[in-house]
Amino acid sequence: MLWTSFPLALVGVGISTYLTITHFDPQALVCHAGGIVNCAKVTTSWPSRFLGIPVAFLGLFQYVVMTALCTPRAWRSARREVHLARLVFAVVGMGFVLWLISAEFLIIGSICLWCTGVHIVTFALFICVVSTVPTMLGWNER
Amino acid sequence: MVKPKRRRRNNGALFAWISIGVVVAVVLTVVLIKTLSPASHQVNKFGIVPASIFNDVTQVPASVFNTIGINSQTISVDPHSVFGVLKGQKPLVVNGLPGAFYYGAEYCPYCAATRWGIVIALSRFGTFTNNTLYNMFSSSTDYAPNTPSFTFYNTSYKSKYFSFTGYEVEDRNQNALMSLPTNISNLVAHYNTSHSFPFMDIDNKTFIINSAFDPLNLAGYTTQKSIASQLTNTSSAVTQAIIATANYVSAGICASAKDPPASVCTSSGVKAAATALGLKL
Repeated sequence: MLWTSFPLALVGVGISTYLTITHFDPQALVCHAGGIVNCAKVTTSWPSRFLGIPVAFLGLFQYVVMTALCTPRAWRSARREVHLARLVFAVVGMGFVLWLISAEFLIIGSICLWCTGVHIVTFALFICVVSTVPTMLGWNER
Repeated sequence: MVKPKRRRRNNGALFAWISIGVVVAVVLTVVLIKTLSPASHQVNKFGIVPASIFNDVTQVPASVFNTIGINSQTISVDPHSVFGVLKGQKPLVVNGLPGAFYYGAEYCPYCAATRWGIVIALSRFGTFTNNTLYNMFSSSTDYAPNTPSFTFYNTSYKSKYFSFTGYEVEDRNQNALMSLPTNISNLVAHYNTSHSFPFMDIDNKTFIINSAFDPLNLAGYTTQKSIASQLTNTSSAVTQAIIATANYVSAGICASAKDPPASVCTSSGVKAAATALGLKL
């Protein structure tokens, strides 16, 4: 999982950075819209902000932290808190993605391809973390 | 005595499977709800535009546009009080293409009249998703009551030349309907300070505020079919007013679209409209 999670986190940083840039410059958003796909509609809708903070910022923060928590050194850390933090961030991030997916389909009525890319990366990272970290935390019982 | 081995409980794997299962279940539920949701009552109120009428409206022959041009013999079509061109504005880019949007309301009779020209013009550059438009009539208690038209609510449009979205912010009873994205709301506030209906912004360059012709001219028409069926009749005053509007809208799109179709943008009707508006194609 070490060699999967770290690249995934970096991809997440990349896409989140792009979404953060396009938040300030909507003209820079490249998206082939059609049917249910309308990136501009999603990224300028009210669910694109959480407590007044652009979701793109929150995503970038999440992925910067996850990148640090998924480095080889972090995976090999003997500190329990590091692995617990990785699990918490993965679960909270996944939960927030579920809210964003619900908002896209049920409130906005459109999806953003770039956002979907982040959602997929978040899910993949989530799988990596929940399938390994509980064991690392000693949740298995003898 | 040999003690039996206690079976090891793998709580970690159980946690993983349950977690992943919950995520998948939530996503599938959301998609299912979206897929199975009944169509909005608002959308079904006057039904989908039948295929024959849809074709009449979206496939007006090129010869009609060029024969009519930008004038109507008996209905006043006044572009200069309705169409505006601004230079030096920051281009409106949406999804990587020159952007345009319509801001109006379903109850609004001037919107009802203008939408005919807008829909016809849009059809020269792209298509409505699933060939679907919905019928609408303007308010029954307002000026030019029950003017037959369409609505942009719950429709989507696709073109390879530009991006367009129609925002109907109020329904036929003047209740709130569609909300504007923040950037669109800012553009309306900037270029249409009175928030008048209808309003169209094409790339922050060409603007339409109000209707190019009086919707009362459609008073004798009670159905969309009655108007659509004569869109090839170049002698009809109503057809002339609608097509003239469509040519002006087309000129605005041609002036901003990405690699616009020459068949449309070099046509005599569009060129005449561009000249009248001072647009360079």
